[in-house]
Amino acid sequence: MQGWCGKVLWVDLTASRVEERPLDPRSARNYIGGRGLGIKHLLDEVDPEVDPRSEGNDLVMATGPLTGTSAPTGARYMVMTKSPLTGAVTCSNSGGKFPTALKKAGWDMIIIRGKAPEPVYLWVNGARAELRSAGHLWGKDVPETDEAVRAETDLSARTTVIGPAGESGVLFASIMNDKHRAAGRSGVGAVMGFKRLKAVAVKGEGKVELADPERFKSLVARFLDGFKKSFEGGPVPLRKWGTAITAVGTQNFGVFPTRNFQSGMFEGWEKIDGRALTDQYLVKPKACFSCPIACGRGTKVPDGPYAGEGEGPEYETVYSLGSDCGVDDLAAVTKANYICNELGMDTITMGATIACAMEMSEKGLIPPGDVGLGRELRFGDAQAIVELTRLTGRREGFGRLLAQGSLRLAQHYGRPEFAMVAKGQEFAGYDPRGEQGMGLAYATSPIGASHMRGDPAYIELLGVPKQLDPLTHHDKPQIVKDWQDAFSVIDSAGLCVFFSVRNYVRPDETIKPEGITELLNAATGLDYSLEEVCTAGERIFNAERLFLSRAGFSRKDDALPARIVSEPMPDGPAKGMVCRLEEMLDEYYRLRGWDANGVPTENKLRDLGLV
Amino acid sequence: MRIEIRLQLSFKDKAPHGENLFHLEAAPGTTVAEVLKALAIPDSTPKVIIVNGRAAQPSRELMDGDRLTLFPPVAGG
Repeated sequence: MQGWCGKVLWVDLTASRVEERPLDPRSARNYIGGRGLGIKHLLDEVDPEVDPRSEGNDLVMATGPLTGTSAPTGARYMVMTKSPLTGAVTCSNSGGKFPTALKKAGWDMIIIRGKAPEPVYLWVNGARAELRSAGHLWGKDVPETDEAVRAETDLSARTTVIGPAGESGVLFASIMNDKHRAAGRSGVGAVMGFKRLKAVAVKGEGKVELADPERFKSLVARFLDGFKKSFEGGPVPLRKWGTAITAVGTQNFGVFPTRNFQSGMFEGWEKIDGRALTDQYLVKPKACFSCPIACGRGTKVPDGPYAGEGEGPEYETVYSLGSDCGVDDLAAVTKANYICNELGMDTITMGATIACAMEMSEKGLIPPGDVGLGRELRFGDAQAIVELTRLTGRREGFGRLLAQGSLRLAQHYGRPEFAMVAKGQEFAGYDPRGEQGMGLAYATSPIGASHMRGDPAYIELLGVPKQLDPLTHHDKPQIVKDWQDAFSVIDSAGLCVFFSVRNYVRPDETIKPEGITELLNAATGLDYSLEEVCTAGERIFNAERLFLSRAGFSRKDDALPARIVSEPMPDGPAKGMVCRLEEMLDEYYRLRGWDANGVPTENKLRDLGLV
Repeated sequence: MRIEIRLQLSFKDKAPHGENLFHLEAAPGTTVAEVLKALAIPDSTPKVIIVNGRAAQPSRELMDGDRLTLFPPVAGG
């Protein structure tokens, strides 16, 4: 095979055995890679009703056919499993350099089954793979683990690891690769921890074979040229300011989540946005493999109580640990981000869970003694976000409750409505009352609330590729469906959304992945039509939905909290709005070919080859 | 009529007196596109246009007291 390596590494932790198996070419064509091959495996091999933290749940790490190639942003891999946070699937995506190393070592995917009797790590040295004892690594944080594993394997190896949060089962533990990059969401790290797999180290020095290298090269040149021209000789905004610059858009549209979504306007926004970060703490922009953007932030807080060094924060973190907690102290937000990275936790759920606790505490629903800070927990307490993040990653004190995420925390105190979640996963940094399409995207995302399974913010807030009014709802179901299907292709090919939505798709609201189709054909030698690739995207999204349906999910779970659908936005440009979710859902299900309960119909599944 | 204009990020360079928030006197019926031309912001430059907090198109006719905000489309999670 070309583009793909044609090899899957099966790891049975219970039996302490590794095995090479061929990648099925038909599955590769129909599901592309990454997210597609991940859900194909889960559908075929994992009981949808299985306890996520049991030996019956598999953990899949999957690259795409464009991962490790010179295609701009061809650096991504997907971590797929059944989520302990939501009970739905995960699609945790990360870049950096580990995914490329895995591909260059000759592997499309790693499938991890069972549970090791004692802690282990997986060492993949090119074509050879072995399990090694990790008893001496258990308890180490992410940077310590990365360094120790490379020291005893190969210093040029790339790693993906869990920290103490994954070991102890924090329900939103992440898997961290290259020290600072996160397959962040839905608790993939807790599954890896349950399996007692501390790390995967890979050394890959091969080359991804391409079917038509000359054609591929000319396509890459064309996409890079288009990218450069789009900035008219000026700076690349995401390189200059990082993703935290997104706060300019969300604040201006009044959708910057503030104090657990009690408002969409944060008075301290200019103290925590991308300009503030660049001016105060940026050391240098960091790029994933083959990326011309370099949105990553190498940062340093030089002194003061929050001194530290690492990467971040991203926009989602300045929302979750910043505005959502009413905190305008960028040093504290950055420090809490570093702790999440070091202990291995998702910054979004961490911040949003603290925000939920802050609101419930202010309303007298959590006794101050439970929190244990020696003071009442209130919005704006910068020190508290740092202390509570550390306690959560170590599962100490009140951190044991926070480690369950906001829904279980709010349920514990009898008021689940204070958790800003869909399917039990915390919202990203966009208030759906002022961004109707995002509300539908949160509700119907297969992983619970996420902005990355079809991101309407581009078209609702930024006019990419055209501007739609974020406050209208009737025109959003088609857009959300089209974007979800396109993102399924991006995630499966091994590409990054940031470059893809501006450079690899048709520049109209359908964002059909034309450029990705061209790259796939040059890489694999197949003759994909644009239509076939679009259908593959729809197939992947429906396969995830099918897994959810079999796990018991339906329309009742495509829901948003009462605050979002019945409490009008109190201020700002979206004042008076609620999210008109139910009206959008009917039309969305019709467009999807699902029944009124949100279950894919037999006809739709047959059309997509899913039955 | 008088409109309030707020320029953000790289568009700040287009502010006539270096102030990113300023007022402009314009004839009734002036469109956003005409304001963009006056500020020497090319049609081809990607931009987000907000009038009184709502997304707007370049063809939008402005009224006395309108608040126009312009910034380049930068985002990512």
